[in-house]
Amino acid sequence: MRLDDGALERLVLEARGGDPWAFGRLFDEYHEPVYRFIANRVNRPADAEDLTQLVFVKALEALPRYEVRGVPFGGWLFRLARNTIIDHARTRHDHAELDAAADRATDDAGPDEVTLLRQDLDAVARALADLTDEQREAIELRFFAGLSAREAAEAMGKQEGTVRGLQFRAIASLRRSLGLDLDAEPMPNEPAPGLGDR
Amino acid sequence: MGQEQDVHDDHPGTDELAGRLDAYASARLAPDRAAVARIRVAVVEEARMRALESAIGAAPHRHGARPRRFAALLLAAGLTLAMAAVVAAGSGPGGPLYGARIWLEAVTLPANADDRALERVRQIEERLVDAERAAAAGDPVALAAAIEAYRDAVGDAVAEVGTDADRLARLEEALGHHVAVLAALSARLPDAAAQGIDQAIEASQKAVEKIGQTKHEQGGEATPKPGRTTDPAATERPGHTPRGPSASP
Repeated sequence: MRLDDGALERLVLEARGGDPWAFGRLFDEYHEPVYRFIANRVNRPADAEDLTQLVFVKALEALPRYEVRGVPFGGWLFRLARNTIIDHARTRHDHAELDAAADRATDDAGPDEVTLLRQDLDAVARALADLTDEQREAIELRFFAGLSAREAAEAMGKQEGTVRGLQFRAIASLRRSLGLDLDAEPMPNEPAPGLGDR
Repeated sequence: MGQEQDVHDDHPGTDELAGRLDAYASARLAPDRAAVARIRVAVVEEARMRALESAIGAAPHRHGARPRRFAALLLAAGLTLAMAAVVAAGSGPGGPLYGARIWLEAVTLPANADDRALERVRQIEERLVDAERAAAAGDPVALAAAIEAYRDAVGDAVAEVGTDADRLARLEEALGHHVAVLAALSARLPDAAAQGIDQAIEASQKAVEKIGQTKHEQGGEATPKPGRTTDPAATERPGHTPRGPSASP
């Protein structure tokens, strides 16, 4: 994130106080990671757009109850995002959406994909689909949303060490699937200390 | 950092994996800018409405006069919300209150120069969304109003941006994107409607040229201000892509 902790805290306080401009700045800071997290869980971009909007409206409603000195704001926001996705899947009775990465269509590839090699992206999608739900969620929160381990733990409602363990095993699995692990065997169930900490 | 290096030693290829995940997210999970603009407008409008409702509801109660006071507050809230609905309906491009809405946005800009410049860019983007909506609705009056407001907003932003490298770069990037969006819009509209858009494109291009000239006179490229970011790497990626863990040791 671009904002430092002090600036973020100030914005959260101002947004809690009813300042729409401050809330707009929080949106600017978090919309892309929230969208990425959601987009990996739903099939249609239109759903990702609707759910991203819903997450921020829910955040607006819940912000007066958020304690600045308690959980990190990113973790709190992504917990809202996670619950919103779960509610969405439950309402639509479309649990397959949670495995959307496996089936993500490649027909709607943008021009960027021409240079990035569609096959590589498909391989990453398949590798992600092979992960357990929790491992995939750890990767989504840490890599796609850019959260710290503490924030990811808050979003998932788990201990930080548990999230590190999930991430470690997910990385090992992804590397195997993508042929990046030819020379090294993954370590047994050890968390990855400091991996990606900010 | 040492711990991270241990991880890289144990797991060669982590950087490559991070790169591939990042490429995947950028190509398949990134929102398009029109969607972001739509969501932002809706969310900030919701925040404004809630702030208004909250301001009404925060009026103090006096002992003994509570029922009457409550009824008065309800009435005031109802009237205010009704007025807000009327304002919202009339404040679209081409509406009688569109100019008032833009004026209100201008006078409520933040005082801090960086925040103000950022908000100027947001306002230009909102005008662009107004234009896209008007074009989609086939409303030439609204389209002309939105395009005029867009050009004014660009002019105001350029006049106020100053010589700060960060602000210049941000505005230049936004305007460059707008030119592409406007060109696409122009291509699918009849000639009469496209004329106004072509003028907006010209205004954006001139603004970009002026920014380039200012940067040239300043004698260098954009240099991020200390304290604006905790992660220098975050500024290196286009489109403010969030940083993935352990992307680099």
